[in-house]
Amino acid sequence: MDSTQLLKGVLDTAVLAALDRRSTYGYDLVRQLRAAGFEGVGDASVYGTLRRLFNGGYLTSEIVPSEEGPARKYYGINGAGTDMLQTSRKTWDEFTSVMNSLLDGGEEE
Amino acid sequence: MSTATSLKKDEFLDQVAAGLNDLSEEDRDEVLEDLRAHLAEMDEDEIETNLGTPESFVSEFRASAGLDTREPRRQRGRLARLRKQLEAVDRRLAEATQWHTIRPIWVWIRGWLLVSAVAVLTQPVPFERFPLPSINGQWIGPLFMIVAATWFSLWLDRSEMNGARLVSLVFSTATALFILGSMLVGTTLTRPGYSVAVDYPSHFDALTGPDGEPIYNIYPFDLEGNPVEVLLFDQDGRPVQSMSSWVYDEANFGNDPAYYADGLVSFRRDANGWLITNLYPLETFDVSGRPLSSPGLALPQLEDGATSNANALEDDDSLEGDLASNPNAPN
Repeated sequence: MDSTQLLKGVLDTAVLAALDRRSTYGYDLVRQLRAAGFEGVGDASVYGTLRRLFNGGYLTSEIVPSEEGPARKYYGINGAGTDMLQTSRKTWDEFTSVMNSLLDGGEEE
Repeated sequence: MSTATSLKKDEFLDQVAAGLNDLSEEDRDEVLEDLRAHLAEMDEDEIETNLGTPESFVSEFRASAGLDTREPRRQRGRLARLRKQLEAVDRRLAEATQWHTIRPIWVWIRGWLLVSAVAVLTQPVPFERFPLPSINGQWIGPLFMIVAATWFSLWLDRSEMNGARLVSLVFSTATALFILGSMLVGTTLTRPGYSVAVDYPSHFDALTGPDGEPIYNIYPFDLEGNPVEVLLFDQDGRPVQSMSSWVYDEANFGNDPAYYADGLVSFRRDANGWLITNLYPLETFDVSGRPLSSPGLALPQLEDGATSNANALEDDDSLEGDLASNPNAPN
């Protein structure tokens, strides 16, 4: 199983989950995801996902001026995003429980 | 310490922008803003390790953003290069002036620039009430034009007609430069424009002969052929003035001798210092200051001395009467 391929499938959910914890800007979000264990996640993928989720109406954005450089755009999650996250969490739970039972069943035999 | 901007980072942004040229200007700007902030967090040499090449960044981004992964049709030729350069300049300006934060106002400024350019180019008085441009003395019309231009500009932003966007980009850049340039040079944008016709009259002849030839000086002689000085008056008692009025004005201001068409002239003055304009002959000089002498004169051959001439005068009754009644006639 290629973890990169897996990640691509669930990056939306990962991003929503991270933003649900706290709003942040792109660079920091990439760092968070990598720190959480997704070392292979590409910056471009995160930004692309952010754009798609934002255009889909699941995120908020706020420009916060910074002293160290250009103003940063902080992304956050809104109501629609939280609903989507809930649905995704359910889907994930169902999916992984199916997978887990399949895998555990295989090991038993 | 990482620098916010650098040449390599700008180049990276330019190349990414090229790969996103199918997006609307607004969308693309948003992506680039995020990317610029992202680049600001790293050093120049980290760009390749963190982000890869611009091409790989673009394709990964497009895939995760749900954009068409087909390569956007690359436009070749001078037009494409020009457009890329213009957009790069536009981005530099935007970053330098933080236009993205005043983007809504920028669209209005563009509309104002467009209408003002029309006014500056076609109207003698472009701004009767700065900053409102006026056309034919009206500022209401141009104001509506500004609103229309702004809406048109917004409409262009949303469309993907790259050709038209290029035209509007070129035009607004050129217009901005033009207006900035003329303000720096200090042209009369706000003062009413009028052209002064500097046409110094050189032959505004006060006294002319029968064929229109100018008469500047009069050389009186008595009947014996002796030059005399006389004061001349016309039929209404006015002093006969042979020079243009501006010659007397100049002499009055203290320029003595004063310039006239053929050189310089000096007037005698009365006890109060006023010019005596009708005392002939006038003292005239050429432009280098040499006195002009009376021209060769053809005095009439008198038949038998003064007597015959005096008889001729007596026959003319009207002339005699005039001479007798003129109080100013020399005695």
